[in-house]
Amino acid sequence: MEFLTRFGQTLLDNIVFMMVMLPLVGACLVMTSAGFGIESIRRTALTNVVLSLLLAIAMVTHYNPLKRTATGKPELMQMVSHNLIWLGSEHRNPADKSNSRPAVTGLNVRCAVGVDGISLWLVALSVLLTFAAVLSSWGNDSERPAAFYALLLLLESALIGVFAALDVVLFYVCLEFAVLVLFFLVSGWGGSNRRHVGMTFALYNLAGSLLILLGLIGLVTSYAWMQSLQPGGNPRLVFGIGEMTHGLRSLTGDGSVSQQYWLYARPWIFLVLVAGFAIRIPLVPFHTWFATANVEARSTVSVLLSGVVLKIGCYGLLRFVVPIFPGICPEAFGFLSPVVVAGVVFAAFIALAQDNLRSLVSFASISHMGICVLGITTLNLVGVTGGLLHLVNHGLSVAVLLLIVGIIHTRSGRQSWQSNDAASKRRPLLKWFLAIAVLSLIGVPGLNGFASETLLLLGLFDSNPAHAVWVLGANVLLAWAFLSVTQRVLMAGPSGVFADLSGRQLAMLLPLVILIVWIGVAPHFFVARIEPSILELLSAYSSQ
Amino acid sequence: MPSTLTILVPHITLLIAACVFLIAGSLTQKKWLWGPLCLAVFLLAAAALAVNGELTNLGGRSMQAVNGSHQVIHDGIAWGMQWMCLGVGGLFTLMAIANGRELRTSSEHFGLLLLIVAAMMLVSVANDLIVLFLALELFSLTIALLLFQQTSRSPATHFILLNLFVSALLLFGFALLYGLTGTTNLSGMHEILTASYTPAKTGMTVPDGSRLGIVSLVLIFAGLGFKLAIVPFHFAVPDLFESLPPWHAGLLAVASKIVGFVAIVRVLVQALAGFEQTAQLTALVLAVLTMSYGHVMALRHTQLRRSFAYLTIGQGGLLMVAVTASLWNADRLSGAVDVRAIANLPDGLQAGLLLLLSYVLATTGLFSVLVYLARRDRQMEYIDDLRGLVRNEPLAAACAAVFLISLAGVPPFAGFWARLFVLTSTLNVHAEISVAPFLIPHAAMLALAMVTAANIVLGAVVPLRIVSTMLLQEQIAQPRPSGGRAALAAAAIAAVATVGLGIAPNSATSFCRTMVTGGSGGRPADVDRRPNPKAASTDKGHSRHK
Repeated sequence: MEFLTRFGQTLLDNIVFMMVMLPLVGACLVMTSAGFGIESIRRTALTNVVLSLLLAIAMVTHYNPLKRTATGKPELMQMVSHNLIWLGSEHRNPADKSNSRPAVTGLNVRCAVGVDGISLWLVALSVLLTFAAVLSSWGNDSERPAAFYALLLLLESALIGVFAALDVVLFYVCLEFAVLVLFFLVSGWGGSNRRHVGMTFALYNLAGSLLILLGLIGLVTSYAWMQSLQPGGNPRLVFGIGEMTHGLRSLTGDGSVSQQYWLYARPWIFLVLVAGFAIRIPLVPFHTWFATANVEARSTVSVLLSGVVLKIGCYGLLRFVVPIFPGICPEAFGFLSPVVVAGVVFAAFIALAQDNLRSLVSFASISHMGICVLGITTLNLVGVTGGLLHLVNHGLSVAVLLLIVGIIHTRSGRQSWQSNDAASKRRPLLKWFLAIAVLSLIGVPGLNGFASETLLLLGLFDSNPAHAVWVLGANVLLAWAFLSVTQRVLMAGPSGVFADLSGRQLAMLLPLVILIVWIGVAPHFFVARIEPSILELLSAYSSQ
Repeated sequence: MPSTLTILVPHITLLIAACVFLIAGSLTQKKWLWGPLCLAVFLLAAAALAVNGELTNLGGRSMQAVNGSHQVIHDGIAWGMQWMCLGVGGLFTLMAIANGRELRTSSEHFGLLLLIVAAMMLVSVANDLIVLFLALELFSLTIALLLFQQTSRSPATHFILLNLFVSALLLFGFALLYGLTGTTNLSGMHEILTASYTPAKTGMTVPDGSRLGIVSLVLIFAGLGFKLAIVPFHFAVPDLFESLPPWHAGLLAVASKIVGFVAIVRVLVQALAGFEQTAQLTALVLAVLTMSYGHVMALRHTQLRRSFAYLTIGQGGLLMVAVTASLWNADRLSGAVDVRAIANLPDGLQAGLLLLLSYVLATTGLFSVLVYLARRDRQMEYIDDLRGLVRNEPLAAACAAVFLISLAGVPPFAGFWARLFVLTSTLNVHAEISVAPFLIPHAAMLALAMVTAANIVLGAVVPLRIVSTMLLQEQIAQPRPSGGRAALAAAAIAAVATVGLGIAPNSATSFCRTMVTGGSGGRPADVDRRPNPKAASTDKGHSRHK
């Protein structure tokens, strides 16, 4: 019995690692089941995402934001597995009888994963949206189904890896791998111009990734160089994100010997990293890859693209930029945020001019991502928490919207759904869900968008009221755009006879809608898991 | 203790076998015999090499000292590069086996391949300017024979004439170097130059050699740059690739890169001391020019082998980045000034060897796919010929996709790790320590890192475009490929290695570290004194190809 409890505990402690590996195994299984017909492919993929979903639920319930270590310090990063060494070899000195950790030679790059308040909901979101994506492509998967489902699962694994990685190299590998998989997904399945769009997407993002890589290498080597200044220092490259962040903070405090170096190096590293993440977010001058790819891709893929992949940029800001550059962020964000505000308003205006719901959603997403960045630039607890929660909320709402667009696509058989392709009056559920998604994107009270935007705007009013007014203005524009298109969709007469949602479609939409309402009505459950980590994140700022 | 003769046993085996092949080919009509026989010869040489490795006790003691004062040396680089050469030889033999009926005289063909591999291995062990030059000439002349055997058109003539001219330059450079130091032995030369020109001995803060040495340096760069297809010396390569069948083009692409890189490492990185700054500046400019030119030109072409030719030029540029990084790193400066180097930062040499390994695997595999796909009447000529390949030939397309993605440097394949190491190694070059109180990166090297990063993106365009053509476009009707299953097997072996090194990069990096440090850790902080089990397993992995 005790053995079973211990076994269960071990499983729970390594749950994030299992969540990364499970879709990889699933992808192999899907490829091998290709010979047994489309039904077995679908079942394999579905089983895999359902298992992932169960693991995600277990992860969320197992995460305890108030957990403390034996010494009483808060332990925010939980369910950490870091024993797998990727580069470098571990060896134990035979003379050393104590059971301390064996020394590692070489680079010491590890497959280390774990979640804290920043990544918890993003990991869960990736799993949930992949589940919805797999369900939504049933019946629409006659073209190379095995490859499609396998790529979806690989994408899931890569995205979880990006959010859960505790090692710089693992983070980067997952980031690039996600681009590669999305390149195949975008240019393999979708509209007529998909190959060109896929290529643009891949190159834009590879360029962004390489900027991120340069910035990360800069951080890692800077830390090593600064170690060399410490008396008796034995400089090493450290790839663990947590260790590196703490080390950089402790070495660059006031009066330390390395401060001179850091003052010289940090603006460049900051600039490169922010530029790389800006492409990923995407901030406005760099948004073109997303606007085209999201419209051209199959709706299943664009669910993941705008639902999860867009979140990587903001996550990167929270994981690397905010904690590592406390001395430079307030000032630099002061320069950045007017640009972001301009982008938010610009994207909202463009959204207003769109007639096609898919491209409307694209530009609205660009605008919303800008708003999330503004939440992060406030650097106060409320604003950053709001920004992070808004990332999750935007993912949920946009996913519902795009899934419904996909359903109508499939049924009407049209390549691009114009707003006048009216929904039938005989589909009350579909219309309800559409309305909920749109209203939550607009930020109507009682739905999730309201909860996060209120937090975000509170933080923004605190730091920069003028920007908050601009954001409100952009929100009005977006509401106008969404309402006018939705009005035409919902109120127009029937253009064909369709059945309402099937059980499968209900199964994919219902969890999302429940979450939308849940976060809207009782956001505490979600915010409580985020806040301690944000507090810890901002601790460097409060001391200044 | 291995003497010169024992070190040369694998080479002598290959050379004798090559003579037998070339003579006996005219005595018998049994053409099917030669391929398997050639594989057997490679296996024999591999066994001899393995025994050599045991004798020099890789892993336990450092191999630097073995036979250091003689004409040939057996150190980590020699050991690793010889395995790489034998692996390449084995894979190209496999590719040629099924291709045999297309070739005019197959025994000559295999005999020349044996000669080429023997020359490559000689270059790897050469510790003397004369041995090195003879090995390089043996290599060039055998390649020339092979080219003329296949095609007598002008590109081959052009290539061979250029080759002769460049050999003369190289010889002149070597002669000047001999005049400067009074010895042809590379190890001895290093000692003499260190004593005369490095800061530790002369008290100069910046190492800088004599004018004579700089002239010879430039000449040697020209001579060896031609082998690597560095930019001002690249002109013959694209035309040649386009006119050659894939087997020959692939051999040229892989073998000359190996030879060029090893020779540059032996002469410019390991032997020359005191010319680091000049050499580094030259290498930096050449690296930037070469990779930018190669990657940009590759964008413009639709002829398959021609765009591969430009891609290989670009890869040569990346190799030069690694050379640049290895020319003047913390190791070089230690002893001169108080340097606390970062213990586990990969140095340029290790990064370059890793890049070379991933490049060799990917390129060999890619060309073996092309060999496999050859039709009875014509080769794959244009990128569009590969449209929808995955429907007709799923295995070949999957292998080719692995190689191309690895060449594009996207994880999770071997090429990604190589690029990561190259980028990181450029940051190991520090600015002058006496100016700043701490280690700061060399500004030129930071700029180089930026250009390299841009080039990695640029270099991903063509491979990804070909991948999307193969996997995502509608197929076109094609006759069945007639290249034979053995070529596909070679591709599969290379693909397995590429994927394996991508998922478990540890084996590749420790293989390369063993090459650089000779089995024991290089720097005091990072010593691993146990026998290295990883290196031994990699070694088996490579002999598996034979």
